[in-house]
Amino acid sequence: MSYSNGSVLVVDDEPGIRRALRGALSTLGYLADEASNGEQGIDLARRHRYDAILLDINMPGRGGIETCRELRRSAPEIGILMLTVRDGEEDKVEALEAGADDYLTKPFAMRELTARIRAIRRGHKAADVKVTGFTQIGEISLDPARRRVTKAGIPLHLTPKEFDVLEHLMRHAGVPVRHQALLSAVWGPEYGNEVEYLRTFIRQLRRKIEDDPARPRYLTTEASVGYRFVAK
Amino acid sequence: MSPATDRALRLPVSKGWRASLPGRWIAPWPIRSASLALGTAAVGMVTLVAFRFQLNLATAAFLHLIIVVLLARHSGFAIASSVSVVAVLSQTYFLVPPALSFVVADWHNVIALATFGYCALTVSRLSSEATRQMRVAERRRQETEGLYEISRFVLLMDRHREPGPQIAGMIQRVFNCECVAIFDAVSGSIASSGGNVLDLEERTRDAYVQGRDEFDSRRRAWFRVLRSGNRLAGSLALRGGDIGGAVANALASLVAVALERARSFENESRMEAARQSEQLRTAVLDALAHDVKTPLTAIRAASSGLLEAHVLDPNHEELVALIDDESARLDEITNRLLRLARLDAKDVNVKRGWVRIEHIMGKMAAPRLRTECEDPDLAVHADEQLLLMALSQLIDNAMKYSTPGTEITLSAVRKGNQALISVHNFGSPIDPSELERVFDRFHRGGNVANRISGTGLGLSITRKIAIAHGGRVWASSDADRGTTFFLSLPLKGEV
Repeated sequence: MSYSNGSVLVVDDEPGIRRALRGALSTLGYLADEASNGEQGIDLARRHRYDAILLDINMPGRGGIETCRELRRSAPEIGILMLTVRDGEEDKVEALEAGADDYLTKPFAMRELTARIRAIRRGHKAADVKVTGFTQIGEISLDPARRRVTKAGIPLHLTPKEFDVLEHLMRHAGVPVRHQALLSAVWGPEYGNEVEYLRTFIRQLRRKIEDDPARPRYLTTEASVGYRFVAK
Repeated sequence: MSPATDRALRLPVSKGWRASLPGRWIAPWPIRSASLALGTAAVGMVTLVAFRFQLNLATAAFLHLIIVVLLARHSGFAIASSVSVVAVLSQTYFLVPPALSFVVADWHNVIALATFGYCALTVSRLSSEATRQMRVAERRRQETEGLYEISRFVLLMDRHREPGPQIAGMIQRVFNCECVAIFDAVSGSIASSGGNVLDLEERTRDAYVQGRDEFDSRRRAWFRVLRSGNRLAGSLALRGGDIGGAVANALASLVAVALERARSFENESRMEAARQSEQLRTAVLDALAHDVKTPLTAIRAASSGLLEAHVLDPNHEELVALIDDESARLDEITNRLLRLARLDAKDVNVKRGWVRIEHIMGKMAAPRLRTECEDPDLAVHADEQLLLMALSQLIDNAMKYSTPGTEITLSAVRKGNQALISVHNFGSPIDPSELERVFDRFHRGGNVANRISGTGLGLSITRKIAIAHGGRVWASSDADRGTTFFLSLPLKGEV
């Protein structure tokens, strides 16, 4: 069996979940380690360089959020995906604020999990080398050099700000981008609370890139958190 | 003086009662006769001694004066003045020359007698007044002490027991009443203490109904209406004992306060209990969610992992897909149940915004579903998430109970000031007797209970959501035209 897809650390206090995830990830070509609590997870992450860490939010002792903060301090480049049983928005916001790249509600399909792991890794690579090249996701392609966006080959007319928003989201395709992060990336660091303003831009963008703006395929809303450009 | 006591003093008071009002205290008749006799005897004795030993008029007059003063202090002005008259007469007869006749020869003696008479009357008046004042003061002190004791009791009362009987007993003890009755209008209960209360209880209730403060001279009982703010809260009856109108008023205020306090404490503890049970429910639901989701996560990770790896032969893959699908379904059911249980637990918290009906209808996806909305601008001021939940419950329901292969129609029309959304399906009709009850919690149609899976919560939640929006739900059903569920929501304006 080859572990060509990368290495993942599973941090969860439930042995059944560790066992299942480790088995499933190994089957899918990931090298999977496991830790049963936050301390052990931090310790392992210091000694090995993982591509992604799957971190349960609800753990006894040092909880997932606290562990995430600590991991982010010691290893800024590591991809962190938080797992939660609760479908609440507070958990997700808290996870992203603590430095997680993404979150997933239990239970989930492995296809979804591996897609998220890929997106996180791509996001980190993109951040590392500041990819400014041509991006294509689904029918949408974006050419930063010529500031051109096409959908199925047909050029779309975007305003400069719409282009910037789309570029930022596509560069982080697959992971949720928080309102604040998007606002300060596009409008500057002094912005961050103009969520309503952003909503208007997203509505305009959807009208241009989506087949049915009411049911977006590409640009999805993450309730109370932000937006996500879905990675294909 | 407070308005309450002021009002009390102006109340009509019967003669019998006045006899025992503070300051107008008069000794009972036998004692009065005895003091009159004793005083007369003492005056007579002094006069005879003075006559026998030839004492002068002044000496006898001073001795008489002492007797009159003593009488005035103990028996009141009336007795003292009567005895004064006796003293003047006996002095005239025995001591003023010529003796043994009522003739006064010397005009000096006329002045002496008149002076004595005037002094005796004045002194006895002053003395009896002083005594009366003392009695009033004493009486006020006792009343104040009693009221203080009652108010202290109201503050320290056992909050876990009924307030009425406690206060009634306390008032009866402190004011030494024959009996006390308290009618609590809010709970409709009557509490009493003391003997012979039956007719008093009846009258107490009447006093509340008539809203009248009064003194019943036949029963020798005060009736007072209890007021809490501007509202009548009940009534109080006090019989016997040494109680004046002002005290009855003060007691009525205290009892009203006590009942009010007890009630607010009760509300507080009820709210606290509701809050605790809500907390408990949330905790239980969270624990349940965690306990069910954890094994589900493991199962889904394993099944979906196996499928994703594409390593199975078709037969095995079919079986694993079954595990995967069913665990996904179990997860969906769990989510729905938890959501319903949370929604069921509390009053629905509606976060309103403008929602276009066509927009939410567009979000409903199901095979065999046809949607028709005549007016794309039809919008309601509602909670989009809740509305989606209500609609999907109706559509789920239609899917479950429809004849396989038939179309399900979701439509919306404007009807007056309402948006009327309906979900129609063909299938076995709902019995008319059950049309209302399908919206009850855990009710499931008798003819489907064993055939079709469901929790019996869905439609009850739909109704709850409708009511939270000021709308309603109902259903109609017959074998030919199929079954239609209606959800109507008030429009209250348009986008």
